[in-house]
Amino acid sequence: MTLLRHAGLRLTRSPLALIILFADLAVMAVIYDPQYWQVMVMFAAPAIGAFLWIVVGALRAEARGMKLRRLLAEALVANGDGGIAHDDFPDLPVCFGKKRLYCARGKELDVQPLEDLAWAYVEEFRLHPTWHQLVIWNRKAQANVLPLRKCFVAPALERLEKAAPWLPVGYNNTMKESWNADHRDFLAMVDDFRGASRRFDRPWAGKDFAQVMAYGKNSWAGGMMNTSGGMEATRLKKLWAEGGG
Amino acid sequence: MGKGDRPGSKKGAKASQPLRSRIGGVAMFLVAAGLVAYAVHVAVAAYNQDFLPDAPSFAPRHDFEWIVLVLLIAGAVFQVGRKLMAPSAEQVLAHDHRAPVIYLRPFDEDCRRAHAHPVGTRIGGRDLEKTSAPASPEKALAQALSRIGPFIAVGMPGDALAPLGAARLYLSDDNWQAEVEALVRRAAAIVLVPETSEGTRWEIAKVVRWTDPRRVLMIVPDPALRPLGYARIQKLSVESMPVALPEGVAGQHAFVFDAHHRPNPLRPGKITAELLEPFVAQVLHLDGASP
Repeated sequence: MTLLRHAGLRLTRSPLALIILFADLAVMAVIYDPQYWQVMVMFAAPAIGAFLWIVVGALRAEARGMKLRRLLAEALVANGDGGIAHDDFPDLPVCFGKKRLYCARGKELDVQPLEDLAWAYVEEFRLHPTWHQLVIWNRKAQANVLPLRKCFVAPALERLEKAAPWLPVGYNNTMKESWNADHRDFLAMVDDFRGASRRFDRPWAGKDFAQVMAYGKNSWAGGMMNTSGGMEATRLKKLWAEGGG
Repeated sequence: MGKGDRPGSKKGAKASQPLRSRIGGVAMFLVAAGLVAYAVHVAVAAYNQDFLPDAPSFAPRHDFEWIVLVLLIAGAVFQVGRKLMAPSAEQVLAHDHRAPVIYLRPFDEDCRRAHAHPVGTRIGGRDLEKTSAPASPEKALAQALSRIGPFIAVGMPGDALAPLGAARLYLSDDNWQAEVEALVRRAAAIVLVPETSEGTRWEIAKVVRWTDPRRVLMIVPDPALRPLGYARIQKLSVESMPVALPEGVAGQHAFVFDAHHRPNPLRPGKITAELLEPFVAQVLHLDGASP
């Protein structure tokens, strides 16, 4: 069943494959003539390609899911979070233990202490509003960027707010500027809320999604990006080291 | 500034100076002009090839990318030329005998940039478009305050090229405090970007002590965009200034002061000559010049 679900997900992610498949089948039905089998084979090739693309993609997604579920089960047991349910992992790429966050990052599982988290929000791609990724920043200014389907966005945010109510969840320009320019104060503010076990409720904090533009290729395999450069990178590294330390 | 703000400077060492060369600057301008001329030549050639009736080639071409690259390089070379020719503070003060406008800010301010996205290391997911722009208002300040006097700032030790904006004065670690104090005492106006570092606290103390508060312009973080930054500076003002800054109001990020050190916000908006006009008029009025 999960294989079928993955095939469905893959189709909804790229409806072009479905269009090619059915358009091609329709053409073949119209021109069907066993005498000209070579022509039929030629027309069948795109449909076979689209079908294989769907099946192979679904199989790979299923293999990734199985691997991640196994890794998660082992990590939960190792960290004393044994009984925690994780049926929808890694479609919903986060799982919360008592003191830890488990993230499905590409084909790997990333485990972080909850107290290291600093900010989380969802990025929505402007030109492709069905693409979303959950971004979870930690105190060292490193972000786990977790692509997820739109239907999993709300549950992911809900779980995040339930597991770490003190964590700022949401995006606006003020949050971004505060993170970039007043990083140390930002971390101190999060510490204050966490220390007091209070829900994060600064009036200027945004609850929106970040509207973003894609750039370059995916960085699935643990690719890294640093948006700063030169002298400012040095300044920011120093700041993060002080803030994170 | 101050010890904590002066990386790369050594006790007793002479202050390192950035590279300055009039000939080098002119050479850079000529190179930039040559590159622009080349880009125009490529554009005209491409037009002739594509649109004239006997256009021969349908091969894939990359003229547009090439022209953009050449123009970007020309722009960078032109900027280097401008920096090479930027006069030092000593030269500016020798030619302009008006009392200077002193720009006191943390050195970090010179390289601060406004990024389109949160800055840090992202792992996984899709990359985002990386764009950023300089966040320092220095160039706008230099333009807006030129009516008062030459715009002078202490240069960051280790600058390879002097930044554009304020004319830079490079000081050694031994004497920077005495030099800055002397500048503050003779300044027609002070532009202060306060921070909590040791050096800028010292500067605030000197400004409070030596300068008529009506000659001080204070640039602070915009409370609408950086409430935490504004809160930090407001707290600093409680500790270091005779009258503390008020609660933050969105958009108000520039303050002038009355004779009793009471801060008055300028109207919200970007730093422009128009926004700073009340401050310029006030300083010129104090100097007895017609605004």
